[in-house]
Amino acid sequence: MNILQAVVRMLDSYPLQLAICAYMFAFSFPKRRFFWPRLFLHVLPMLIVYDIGIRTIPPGITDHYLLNRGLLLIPIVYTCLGLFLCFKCSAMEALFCTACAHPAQNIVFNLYWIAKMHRGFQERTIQALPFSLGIMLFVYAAVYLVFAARLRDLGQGKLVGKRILLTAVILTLFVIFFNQRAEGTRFEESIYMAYVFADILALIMQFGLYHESEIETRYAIVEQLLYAERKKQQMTAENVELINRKCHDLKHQIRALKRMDMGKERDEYIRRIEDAVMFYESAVKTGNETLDLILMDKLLYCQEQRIKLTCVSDGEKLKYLDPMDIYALFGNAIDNAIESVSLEPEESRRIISMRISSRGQFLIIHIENYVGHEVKILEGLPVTTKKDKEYHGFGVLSIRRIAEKYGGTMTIRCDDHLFRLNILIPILTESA
Amino acid sequence: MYRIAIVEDSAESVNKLKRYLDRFAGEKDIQLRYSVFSNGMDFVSDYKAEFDVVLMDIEMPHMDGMAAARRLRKMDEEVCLIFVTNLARYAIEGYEVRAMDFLVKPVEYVNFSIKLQKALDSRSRMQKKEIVLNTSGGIRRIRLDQLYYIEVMDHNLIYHTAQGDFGERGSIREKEESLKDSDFVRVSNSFLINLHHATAFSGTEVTVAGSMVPVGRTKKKEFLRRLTEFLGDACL
Repeated sequence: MNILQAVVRMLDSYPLQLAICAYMFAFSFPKRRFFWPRLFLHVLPMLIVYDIGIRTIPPGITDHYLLNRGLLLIPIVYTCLGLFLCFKCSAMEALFCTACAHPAQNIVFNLYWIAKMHRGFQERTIQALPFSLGIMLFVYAAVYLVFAARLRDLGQGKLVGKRILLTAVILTLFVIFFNQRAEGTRFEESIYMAYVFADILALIMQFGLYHESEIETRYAIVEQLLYAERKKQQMTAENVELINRKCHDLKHQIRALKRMDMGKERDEYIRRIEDAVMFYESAVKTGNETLDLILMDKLLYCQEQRIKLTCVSDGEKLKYLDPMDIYALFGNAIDNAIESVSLEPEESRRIISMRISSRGQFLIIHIENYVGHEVKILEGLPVTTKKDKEYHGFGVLSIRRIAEKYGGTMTIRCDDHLFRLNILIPILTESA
Repeated sequence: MYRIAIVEDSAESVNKLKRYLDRFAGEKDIQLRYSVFSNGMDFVSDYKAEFDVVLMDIEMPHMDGMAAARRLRKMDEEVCLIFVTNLARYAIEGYEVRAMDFLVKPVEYVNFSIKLQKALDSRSRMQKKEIVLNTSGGIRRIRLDQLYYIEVMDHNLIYHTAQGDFGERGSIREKEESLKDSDFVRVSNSFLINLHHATAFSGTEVTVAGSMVPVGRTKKKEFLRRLTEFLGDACL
């Protein structure tokens, strides 16, 4: 009986309820190795300490309002730490989940008090068990479906900004200190209902802001595209100017040619002019028109910047990709490479080399460029130190997204001063 | 030791490439032997498949580099081909003769050394290694490039090779360990495949030399990563 009572006592305890909610919010995050043992090691000591505490600390001491509320911060901090140790998430994400967990469990507590008032059972007894379990099940299922599932659908990563986190924490602190025991007061029931209402409002605001930040992320993507577009226009304008200049030179060269006598010198001269014109005419034939267009543009720019860009390509299999995706994928990849080698002070090191090939039913894209410093790779993505890292990081992410859209894989590696981007896309259209 | 062919008509350019090769051999502490041909015709007539890397000029009298490369590929499928050229075009022609890359003139040492290193890396991976099997029918030697995949069945390993299937007692975990530097990847509890022979992937099965091999859910990510790096870095 003693054990059963201890179990009932713990089930209704604040630390356990908080932990249940926090883990519920964080559950869609990637879990660290040995997740379940970690979780066990996190929750068990907490329960033991709580149980000892509740039996040894004299009841009167925690009646002081600030002390009573302030004590709640201990399990909050402890839970936050636990999330961080059990999930592959940032400290901010752990804090966000813990901050949201408090109002969620508080709904249960307040409803429980209301039920107690009406039914007149003793708290933390076996008679109370059906009520507490029923309320828990109902409230947590609702919170999961309305709020926590949203975190799961959106995935991790773009989750928590400073502003959202700060608001979540302030709201939770407000809920903590606002929520006093109201037994024996005149409007006991209404007060508890008001608390429940405040908890729900806090959750709505916490997740509402989150939703707003998601819209902001989308807005940022649009801004990225506009930025890319502006940059492209600027580059194209520069290219037109370059072509104009070359044409002007050509006019003079042809005029000079007219005055030249037949002979070796003249032949050589004609050959050089041919080469110059050829560059614009048939510089790139990759087997894919979209890629040709992109490469034409980039090649002219590279020539101007003294970047050596070479390409060996069988673009035939690229026809299975949407031209928009080809544009985004190669545009991003080549721009990243150009930006990277442009940092090289020594011109001979501005080297980019591309290979598009196929084997069996695989389309393989390989782009490599020289890097002066080693680039750190974290979880398959480069960690950039540059100022415009948002633009850069976005580029790599969107390349990966495109690859994955076609069931493909992207890998990035950096060693021996070479940054290598590999993309593999299985093409299952023919004879498959 | 690696053997390099320089096919180039300009003496100045030849001297430069030779200097670079000597410097490269010195820096990396490896042995390089090179032969020089002054045009494509000289190179392809009387060709012996003895080179690891061919550095080929495109603009040459008699037979230009592209034509020579086409002839070369009929005789030698495996040699690593790098074009040395004035203009970096020919994207698709380069692919048709399976050139690894282009070096644009004037060739700078950094660029040269990066590309040569890549070529030699891919050559050293292709070097013919062998595996010795202790089958019930006696000892058998199998070249690694002819081994498609290994399957485990009741503590027996079945080797699927170009010469047919062979059995041997052994553990797949040990084989995985001993072959891990040779482009072999474990795709499920009972299959170890040679990435050289993977030609398609459906999401759950990989085609290896015409056979469908199931890919385990927990191994899929690592398998795809290895395959992507292998195919991306190879000079196919």
